[in-house]
Order: sequence, then structure tokens, then C-alpha cells
Amino acid sequence: MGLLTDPGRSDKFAKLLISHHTKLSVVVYIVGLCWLFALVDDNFNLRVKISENALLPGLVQSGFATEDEGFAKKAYKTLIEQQKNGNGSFPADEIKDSFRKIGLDVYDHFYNFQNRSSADRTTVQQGRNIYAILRASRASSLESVVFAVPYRPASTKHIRTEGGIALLLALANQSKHKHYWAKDIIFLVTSNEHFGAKAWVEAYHGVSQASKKNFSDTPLRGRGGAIQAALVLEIPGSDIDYLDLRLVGLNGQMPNMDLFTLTRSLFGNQQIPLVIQGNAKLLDRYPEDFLGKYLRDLETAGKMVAAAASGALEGIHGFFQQCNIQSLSVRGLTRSGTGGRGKIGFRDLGITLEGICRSLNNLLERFHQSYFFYILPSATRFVSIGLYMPPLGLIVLPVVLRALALWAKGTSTDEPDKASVNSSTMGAILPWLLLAHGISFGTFFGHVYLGRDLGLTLGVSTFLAFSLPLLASRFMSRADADLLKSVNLIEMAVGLYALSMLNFSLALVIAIVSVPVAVWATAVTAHDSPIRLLNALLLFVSFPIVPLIGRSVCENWSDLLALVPHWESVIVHSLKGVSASFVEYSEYGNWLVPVAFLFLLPLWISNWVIFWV
Amino acid sequence: MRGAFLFSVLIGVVLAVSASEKRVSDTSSEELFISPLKTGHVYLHFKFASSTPLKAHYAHTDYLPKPVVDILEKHSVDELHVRLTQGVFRHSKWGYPILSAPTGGEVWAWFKPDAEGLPEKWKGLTNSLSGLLCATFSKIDTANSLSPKWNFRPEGLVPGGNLNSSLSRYSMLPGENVCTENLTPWKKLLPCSDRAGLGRLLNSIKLLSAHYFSLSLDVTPVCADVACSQKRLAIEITATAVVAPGSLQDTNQLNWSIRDLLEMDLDTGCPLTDKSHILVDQSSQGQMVFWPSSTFTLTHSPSAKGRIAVYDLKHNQTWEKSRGLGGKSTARLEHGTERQPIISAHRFVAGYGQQNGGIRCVIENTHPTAAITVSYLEMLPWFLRVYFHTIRVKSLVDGRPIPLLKSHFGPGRDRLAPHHIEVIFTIPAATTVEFGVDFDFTLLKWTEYPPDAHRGFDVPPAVIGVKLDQPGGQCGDFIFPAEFSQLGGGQMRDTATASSDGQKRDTATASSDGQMRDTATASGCFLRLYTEPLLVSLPTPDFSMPYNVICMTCTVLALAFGPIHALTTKNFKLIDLAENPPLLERVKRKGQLLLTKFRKTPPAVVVVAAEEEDDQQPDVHDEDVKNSDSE
Repeated sequence: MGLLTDPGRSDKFAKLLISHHTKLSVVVYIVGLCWLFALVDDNFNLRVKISENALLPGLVQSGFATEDEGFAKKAYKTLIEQQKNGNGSFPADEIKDSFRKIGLDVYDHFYNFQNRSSADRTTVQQGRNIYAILRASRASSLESVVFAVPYRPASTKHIRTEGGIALLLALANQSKHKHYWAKDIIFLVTSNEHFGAKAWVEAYHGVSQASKKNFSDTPLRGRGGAIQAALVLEIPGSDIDYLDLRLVGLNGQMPNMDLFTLTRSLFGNQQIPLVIQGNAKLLDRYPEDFLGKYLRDLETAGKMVAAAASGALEGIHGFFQQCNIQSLSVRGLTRSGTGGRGKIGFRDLGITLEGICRSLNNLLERFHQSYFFYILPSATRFVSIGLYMPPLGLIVLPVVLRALALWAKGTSTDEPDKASVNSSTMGAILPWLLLAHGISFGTFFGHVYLGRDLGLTLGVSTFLAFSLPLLASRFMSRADADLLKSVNLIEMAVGLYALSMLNFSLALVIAIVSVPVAVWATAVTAHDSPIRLLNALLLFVSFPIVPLIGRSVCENWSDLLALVPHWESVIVHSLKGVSASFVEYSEYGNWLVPVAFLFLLPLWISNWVIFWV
Repeated sequence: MRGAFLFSVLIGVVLAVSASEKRVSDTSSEELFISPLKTGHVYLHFKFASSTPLKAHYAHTDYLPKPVVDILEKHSVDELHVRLTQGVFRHSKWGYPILSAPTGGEVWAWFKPDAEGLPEKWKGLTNSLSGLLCATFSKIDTANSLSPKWNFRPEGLVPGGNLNSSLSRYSMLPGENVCTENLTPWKKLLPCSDRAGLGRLLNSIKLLSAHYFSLSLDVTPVCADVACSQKRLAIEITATAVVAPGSLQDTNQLNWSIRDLLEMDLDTGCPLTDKSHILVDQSSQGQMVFWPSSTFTLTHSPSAKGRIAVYDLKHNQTWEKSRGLGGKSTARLEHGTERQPIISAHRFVAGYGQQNGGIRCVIENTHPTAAITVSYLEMLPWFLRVYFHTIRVKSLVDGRPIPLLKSHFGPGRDRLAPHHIEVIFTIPAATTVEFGVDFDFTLLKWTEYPPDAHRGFDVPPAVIGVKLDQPGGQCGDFIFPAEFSQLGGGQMRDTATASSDGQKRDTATASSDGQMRDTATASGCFLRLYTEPLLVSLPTPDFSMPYNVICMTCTVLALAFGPIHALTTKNFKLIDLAENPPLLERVKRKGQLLLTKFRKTPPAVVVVAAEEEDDQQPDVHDEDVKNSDSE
């Protein structure tokens, strides 16, 4: 507590910081990284458990019998036939009719939308969602549970979902006369991937999309109160090998861990093999050796972090999560070797889904126990927010240390004569900060809100950013550069810590890469040092648009190779990744682009300017 | 519906005469109305009605439940309506019920004009009802009750002639669950309890597992004849249930019988009642076979398609031992062919998150040509911060705003009064309109959260009053012929003609000029609809947080206390460092001394150690002074 009452010591502390911060930074960064990687190991994380007592999974006797399986099979067959007869169009009327015959309240939801990522981006298309509500007999439609299936045409490149629709029908038929339901059950079939799902979820909550260009929809005529949980089924048919649970929603949002644990344990009870985040290695025998086991867990956790960091949509459950509804996707997959004749049929799935529904029906309050922030290294272990935040804190700490050291050096009173020459003020660096942010914000808002061409805005901003050093070399002193560095690093640290609260994975990925770069780039190096060249290269590579381009390059590697002789088309093709990210932002609010352009780009421009002073 | 009784004046006179011939002055009747629905459910409506001459004080009643009469008398109540309901009546599938009721509990009373201390009277009344029906009406206080302007008007006579709405009190308890503990005391109010007559059929297990179940108690002063020469106090006790017969699940066919639905056999009527009838809606006769054949049937006059079979339990109606009373549909159920009600409403919470939200109510008028005026009442709890400027009614067809003919906004007060929104507007023909209002959520005091705070908070249903231009003065989908009230009723309802002596009976009519209009006109009927209740989730604190805060605060305080205490309590004085070297220096010196002494003479150690202890106290001071010096 001496620090509080003794200002003399803080001076000592500053000196200590200036002289030792580099060593300390390296140590702290490495410790943080090691700590982070250690968390994957079973000794450092926790076993998943169900915190919500009301769920009581697996305690009820299943009612999903062989005849219900028959019903599902018949529904599946009919659906495939309808699909063939209708030339691949959405057999909405037929599905609606099936639900109506079962005796449910069936409703339509029509919407018009514009698909900006498709070839005909200007035409307004029409879509339709179908939903049926099973009214709980004695309840008053206060709460509900959703089972959703995104309908996909036969030509889809994603997993087909006809099996899921057949299961919905069978479940509806099986549970319609049961007296134990306390919550309404909504069976939802959406179309046009995320357009339909987003439209429905927003219409359900009466959130107006009217301000959005070229979007319109009809109001919903029936609702089931507050939705407590939503399960998205992407089941191709009755013969599948294993299930893949997709938890990560938009921008790294996760469902409550109780929902995951409930799903996992009930599928487990039915002996259905389960993987998470598509890591098919989880199906293999559990590795005996430490390293094999560790690497497998690391891969699973890595996939989850990668999915969360990209912020992209993994399934329509993301939209439910956005509206504070706990939700996850269940995908049915076949192993490549078995030729599509898996062992898991509608019966197993039906029993499990019924069990999940019964458990959710037991809920007395909405999901509030257990964890909302976690990473899963395997289906049975998890790393909670309390465990993974400290290592991230350490990883970002070098930025803070460097910033403080630079600040302390700038304001140090040890050498008064030198200080008068070297000192700088906030006023002197303010124009540079404004310029860096102005260019970045201009790029972003110019494209998103003013609708300027992406190539144009990117080109202009890149040109400005790369030409700024010319200005800087004439008008910026070394002292200004030091202060700017310090302010820059503080901004980065604050930004990263704030981001880690919203999307830990994205903050982690950015921190691991950018912390060394930022610390390295701000190191004082002589103008003729060879390290400087490396520094320049490092800075150039860390240009925030580069990873976005890299993403599209990785995804379309083969296409690009074919295009190599025509370099213009290669550039256009590479830019597609950036453009796709912008579309993701405007269509469903993926934060990747705002983070890159509003947070990373200004930092980078400032660093780039400082580098040439 | 009440409208059913509006033309019963003539027959009422006859009845009144017949009643006066008996020694008892009370009349009593019981009836059960059964209607098979197109969804495969069966609608059951039990009605037990009794009446007695209106008096200032009742020393004795023959058939009327004395506890109820006593409560009325004690709390100066003219008219009282109580409802306890489980589930929502699905208008789009089942049509309109004979008696509408909101989910949960509802109490609505009209006090005598000379009643003093209305808040206390209201509190006393709800507490008494709470005890009478084992319901949590005692939770009713000013924070969840209001005086409706137009939606709830007296349904019977108003002896004092004072129609000021400040005499009324209205409250809803949306979270109330109805169970056997309510049904059992309710059954005790019947003349024969559940021992004889139709009361025997009230099987708790069957009724309470129904899709919809509602209990009601209505007390109204009425006229016995056209001239209103005699005024009576009428008590109506009803139970409504929508039950699903077992056959629905097995065969997807409607095949019902009283024995199947209620697991009880029919008997003769209650001996204390004057009339005891079972009425079966046989409008669907083409698709359904009914048994046994009835003594006589009634045909609904205006549409002529309605047909009601009447079974008189008082006149030796015999039941086949094996079959009892029932019906069987000849065809399988066709879902989705239910009729579209003229007016239907759907309400929901708009928005997500815990900062702000809104309530939207979509009201649809399916009538192809007639515009319908509705009066809409919304009672929102005080913990929603309602923005009255956001209230809007717009057409969903073309987005145009619908003008409000009349409006009343009563802002809520924290823990004292709910928000009271009552508006009257006209819905054009074949149009859907949306009522909307926005609000912010508030944080409650941490002791005000219920144990299941994360379940959400109940918002009571909205009330929609409509005056429909239906022939015959009937709104219900259940065809209820006018003549029928002669059989079921035993008591008279006052009608418009009763207004001759200035005692006017009003119901909430949504008239644009704001003038109260009588419902008992030849072509109108008053319909009251309740929307579904809602659940809103308020921002809920993490209840383990106080613990964390206490830990954190204590740690910070403990850490800060030491230095602050030292700084404020110590005596600072200047000390020469040469004479009193710093602690470290002295320890080093002493150590050296010790070491040398230890080598020479071991016994001296004890002495030195003792000296050192003596020196401890001033040392601390030295240290501090040194620090302040360096500053």
C-alpha cells in the first residue's frame, strides 16, 4: 500500500519499467501463451455438468415408438416426392397441409429480400416460412420451445434437411395429444438459409426491418410467448452415422452450456455418436497417449475458437441467440466410408428430440444458470471464462507495459535539459490520430452507408495510408512519434480488452498475432539496422485487409491457381473475400469487418506513419 | 352470453308469478350446455343461477350462498364478478365462449354510491374473496387495480343511478393458477353442492385437466319484470371447460359421452332447484349422431341452422345405463376448417433484451363490409416504464394511423398504481390493425424479485370490448336461442325498458360520441375478448453479487485501512539519522554484534535479544520519519 501514499516510489517503479519492460513483456507473453495452451489439458479445465436442476434429463419414459418412426419415414418419402414434382421449389403448401392435418395451428410468413451475394443481386426475391404451433393444453401460451429446420433444395451444397422436416412432423404427431406440455412447441421450417430465419426471428419479436432496403414481410399471426430454447435440425435422412453439434453463433456468441450438456447427454443416452464443431476425430477411439489426447483436444478447442473468431454464421441458430434465445444446431452426417447407410434412424433421433423437448418443458425459468462463455476442448470438458481470461490478460499485457514505458520515458524528469527537446504534447499528435481514424472510418462508412464501390474506397484508403509517411517525415518529430506510439498502444490494449468481453476468440486471435507485431514495431531501431527491413515487412503483412484477402484466397485456392495468368482477375477474386465480409456485416451483422476497419486499420496506419519518422 | 336473456321479459313474468306461489322467495336453477366443437373438443358450460328479492340486509337466504351475500353486504358492493381461469380460450378455433374470462384471476366490483372508504372496502372485498375461493385475491392492491372508464359498466341494475366509473374497481391476476383448491370451495356455493344434480358431474380431475377451465361467480341486481316492480339479487355461478375426449387421440374422431368426459353418470336434477336442464348443441347434426333423443328441441330462429336438444332432468328423463348422454361423429375430423371469428386479437411482447420493449396487439376484423368500433383496455404493471407518446394504432393493411375516438391514459406510479390505457377506435371492414406501445424495463428493489425471478413477470391480458351488430343480440358462436333463457334463467334480467325509472343498465359500449349506449337494443350485442397474457423478462441482478460486493469491499477497506490509520494516528517528529539509523542498518549491525558475541560468549545472546525487543516500538516511528524526510 506504500504506492498509495508514497509518490516517490512510483518514480522508482517507472525507472524499473523503462529498463526492464522488454524482458518482462517477453516473459509475460510467453507465460500467457503457455497458460492458454495448458488450459486445454484435463488437469486445468472442468468437467461439464448440468446446473439447472429443473431440466432432469433422461428421467421420462419415451413415447416415440415404431409407428412414429414409420410416420417419419412416410413423411420423408412424401417430401422427397414433392420435391421432385415441384422442380426443387419449396413445397410449402404441402408441409403446411401436413401440419394442419395433424391438428396444429399453422401459419405462414412471407418475406421479400435481396440476396446481395448471389449473381442477380438486384432482383428482389420472395420467400416463405412455415410454422406450426402445438398449443400446450392447459397453458396460456406464455412460453415456448422451437424446433427449426432450414429447408434446402435438392441442389444445395450444404447438408440436406428433408429428414429434419420429417422428424418435425413425426414429433408433432406423436406429442399433439399429450397433456403434460407446459410450453407451446413451435415447429418452424424456414427457407432461403439465413434470410428466412432472420426474417422469422425478427418478425416474431416484432423488430421492424422496415427501414432496411428492399426488405418487407407479413406480420406473424400466431405466437407462443417467450421462446425459451431453439433446436435447429439439419438432418438429411434416416441413415446417418453421427451428429455434429454446432454451438457457435454470430460473433462468437454461445448458447447456455446447460442446453449443450442436455443435448449431449440425451444423445449419449441413445448411443448416438456425437462430435462438436465438426471435429470428426472425436469419433475415433480415445487416444491413450498424452500427446495424442492433448492434440485432439487442442484441435477441437481450436476449431471452436476459429469459428467464433470468424464471426460467420454456422447455422440459423445464430439468429435465435441474437434474440436472447438459447439455441444450437444439430447436423446429421455420414462417414465417408459407409456410403450413406448409417445406423442411426428416425427412431433414435425421435426419442432423443422428444427427451430434449420434455426436459425443456420442465424448465421453470429461462436458462440462467451454468455458463454463457466457454470453450469446449472435448464433449465432456470445458474451459470457462474465469479460466481463459487471465492468460489473455497476460498476452495483451506487453502492449500496456510498452505503452507505459514510452509514456514514462516521455514524461521522465531525470534529464531536464533533454526533456525540453524531446517532449511532445497531445496537441501535436492529435492531427495524426484524426487522420488515421478518418481514413479508416471513411473507408468503412463510405462503402457501407454511402454505397461507394468497395474497390474504390479500398484503393483510396490504401493509397492515402501508404502515402501518409511522406507527410509524416516532414512534420513529425521523434518525440511526437514516441507519444503517438504510446497513445496508439493504449488504444490497442483498451480495444483488445474490450473486445475480449464481447468475442473472446476474436480478441485472442488478434492479440496473439498483433501484440508481438505492435511491440516489435514500436521498438526503437536505428534507421540503417537490418531489423528495420524485417520490421517493415512485418508491418506490411499485418495490414488488416490482408487477412480478409487471405481468407478468400484460402477458400478459393484452386480457382485462383487457374486464374494466375490473368492477374487482374486474381485481384478481383481475392477482393471477393473482403467484399463477402462486408456483405456478412450488412446482412447479419458479422463484426469482423468493423473490427478490422474501425479498430485495427487506424492502429496500423499510425504505426505505419511512426515507422517512417 | 348475457344477451341471451335480453328478450326473456315476458316469460320472466310468468316465472316470477310461479316463484311467488311457493313459500320460499328464492329461485334456483341449474343447467349444463354441451357443444361438440369442430376441433374434436367438447365445450361444457355449467350454470347455476339463483335469485332473491333485493334487500338492504339479508338475515337469511334459501338458495343463495350466504357467505357471498354477506361479503356483498359488508363491503357495500352492488355488483360483483369473479373469474378464475386456467388456459386461454382459443377464439380462432373454438369461437366465442358464453362467458369470456382472462387467464388467471379477475375481480370486478361496482360499489354502492354511498360506500365510504372505497380503497379499504376494495381491499376487504378481495381479502374476503381470497378466503372464500382459496385464491390469491389478497394480492390485489392499488398497484394492480384500476377503475375502467368504458370497458366495464354495470351489467345489472344500478339502484342508486350513479354511473360514475370511480365507483368501480377492476383487477386481474395473470399468474394465478386454478386448481382443485379453488374448485372445492366453489362447489360449496351451489344449492346442492356436488352431492346431487349437475353439481355431481363436476369431477375435479377431469375438469382440471381440460384444455380450458374457468370458474365464475357473478352477482347482479336485476329487475323481475318489465315495470321493474320487483328487484332481485341474482347470483350466477358457472364453470366452463373445453375438454378433449379420449377418442380424439385414438381414432381422430369425435366420440364423446358424459361418462367419458367427466367419468360420472347422470342423475336426476338437484331437488332444491326449480329447473334442471341439459342442453346439447346439435347444430352439427349432419355429421354427428346424438343419443338419447330429447324431450324437445329448440331451433335458433335467425339462422335456422342451430338446433339445441333439451333434456329436462326434473321430468323423469331416463338415461340408458350403458351409454348415458353423448354423440359420435360420422366422419373423421377435418382440421383447419374452423370458422373465422369476426373479431380476433393476438398480443405479443415486441423486442428482446432487457432494456426496452413494447407491447403489440394485432386486432383483426374479418367482417367483409362492416367497420367495427372496439374499446381497448390495457392494464400494464408499474414496473414497465410506459411512454405514452408511443401509443399508436395503425392499419397493417396500408400502414395508415387509425384515429382514436376516445382515449384515457392513467400513468402508473411506482408500487402504487398500474398504467391504465383505454382507447376507443374503429377498425375498418376486412382490416387488421395494430395497437402498440413502448416501454423501458426497470430494476426492482432486490427484495421485490420473486424466487423465480428469471421466469419473467406476468403482464395481464388486454381487454377488448366490441359491440357487434348481430341479429338476435347474440355474439357467441354457441347458438343460444332467446327462448332458452326461460328454461335456464329463473331470474329476470333488466332490459332497456327498465330505464324508465332512471335506473339504467349500461355496458361498455364503444360509441364514438362517448355517450353510453344501452346494449339492449334490438340488433346489438356486447362481446368482451381477452387476449393472451404475456411474460416479460426484467433485468435481473445476479443474486450472488451482493456476496461478491461484500468480499470485494471488505478487502479494499482492509487494505486501505492500514496506511490511512497509520498516517492519521502517528506522531511525526524529526530524528537525526546518524543517531537513529534505519531499521535495516540496525538489524545488520545487531546481527554482526550478535555474531561476534555468539562466537565469544553464548549466554549473552539472551540479553541482546531482550534489548532488541525493547527497541521495536520506536523503530517504526523512525522509519516513517525517514520516509517523510525523503519527501
